[in-house]
Order: sequence, then C-alpha cells, then structure tokens
Amino acid sequence: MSKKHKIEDRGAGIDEDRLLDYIEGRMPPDEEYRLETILESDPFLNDAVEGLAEVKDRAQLRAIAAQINVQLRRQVRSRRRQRRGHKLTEGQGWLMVLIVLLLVLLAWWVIRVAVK
Amino acid sequence: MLLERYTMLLFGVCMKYLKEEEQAKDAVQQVFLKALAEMPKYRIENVGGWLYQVARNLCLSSLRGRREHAGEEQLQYVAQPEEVPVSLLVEKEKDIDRLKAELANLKEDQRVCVAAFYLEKKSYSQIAEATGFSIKQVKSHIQNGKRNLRIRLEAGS
Repeated sequence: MSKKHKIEDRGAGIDEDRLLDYIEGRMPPDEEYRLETILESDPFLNDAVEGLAEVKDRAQLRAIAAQINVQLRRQVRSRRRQRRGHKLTEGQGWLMVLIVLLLVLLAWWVIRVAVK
Repeated sequence: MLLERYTMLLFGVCMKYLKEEEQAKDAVQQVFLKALAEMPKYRIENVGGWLYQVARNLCLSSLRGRREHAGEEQLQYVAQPEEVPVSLLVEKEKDIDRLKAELANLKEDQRVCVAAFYLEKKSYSQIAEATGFSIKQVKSHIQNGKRNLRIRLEAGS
C-alpha cells in the first residue's frame, strides 16, 4: 500500500497529505480556496474535514487511520479464512462421495448378512 | 485495498457526528464490516458516496440512541444534501443580474461572506480575517446565504 492514498469522491480528488495540510492551515491561500470550492459541493469531504479538525492531537491522525486499516485487514483475512473453511476443494468433494458410497455398501452388506 | 482510501475521510465524518475518537474508530470499523458484507452483493458505482451514507446513517442512529444524554443540538450538525447548485440556476446574463439583486437582499453577514467567497474568491480563513468571524461562522453564513439565494432564484425562475 502506498503512503499517499488518492481520495476520490464525486469527481473531486485530494490526497491525504493535502487534506492534512489544509486542516493544519499549511496550505497557500489559492490552493486553500480551490479546496474550499470542492468542500462547498462535496458533503462527504466537507463533513470529513470538519470532523478531522475536531481531533485534539492531529499529529495522531495518520496513526489512527493506520490502526483502523490494520483492523480492516484483519477482518478481511478472517472473512477469507471463513469462506475457505466453508468451501470444499474438488478432492475433498470426491472423498466425501466415496465415503458415502462405502457407507451405503457397508449398510447393504450388514442388512444382507442379518437377513441370512 | 479500495476501502483504505476512505479510512481518513470516514473517520472524519464519524468524528464530526460522534465527537469521540474511540466511538468514531468503532463506527468506521462497523462501516467497513457492512461494506465487506454488502459490497460484493451489489454493483456500487459511487463507493465513496455509498460509504458516506452508511457512515452517516450509523452515526445518526447512534446519536438517536444517546439523544437523552447528548441533547438535541448534536443532530443539528447533519449536513443537508446538496440541492441544485446556485451556479446551475445562473445560466444567462439576466440571471447574473438577478443573482446580484438577490445577493443584495441577503442578510448583511451572509451577503458579505457569499460575495467574498464566490465573487472575490477568498478562502474561509481570509474572509474570517477580514470580517472578524470565526471560520465556523464564515462557513455557516456561506451555507445559509447560498441556501437563501437558491430559494429566491428557484422561486423566481
């Protein structure tokens, strides 16, 4: 995963560095204005900026996002494992068929012996 | 991973509504859980928009759950969906004249902020510095001014 994530929504594009520069007030006025015209028409980005600005320790924002991403990857791995656990491979499928056939044969033989 | 592109934005959205970092982190996790379960079932073209709606709904239902502790005011922060942009209502020259006329009818604070932002192309912080308003007030005046302009322009078209 690259360090910079391009964030695109409703045609607007802004990367995390620029977003954090804006929140920290490190952006030149003309760029700041350009971003704000996007904020005016993009409720997602606008809400996000307002919320991020409320974080007390903004230096932690990257660490928080990284922590959430670690959890996300864990969830994805666990889902994959679950899915794999439920699915039988082709070999396992044939083995199951063989076992069922053997059980049927065994039952038939037991019944046959019992009748005699 | 696609969802990771939205982590920071979703955390921001959840922070805006919930105000608590731990709750916001949990909310983003819940959004991702829903996304992992739901996204493979449907063809979602605007992933960002979909995630935003899920996050907002989740935060709002969480706020409703704790309304008695939080009070009604937190629900006032809910962003209104974007309606017809003012720019689309102003297509002809006569519309620009009408826009200018309607601008003059706005409340002083709204008129100053809307004109500075849209006509003079000043950023929120520049407007705040020039007017003495806080950035939050500037944004609020622009939002309200824009809404009132839109209502007036739509009524006249």
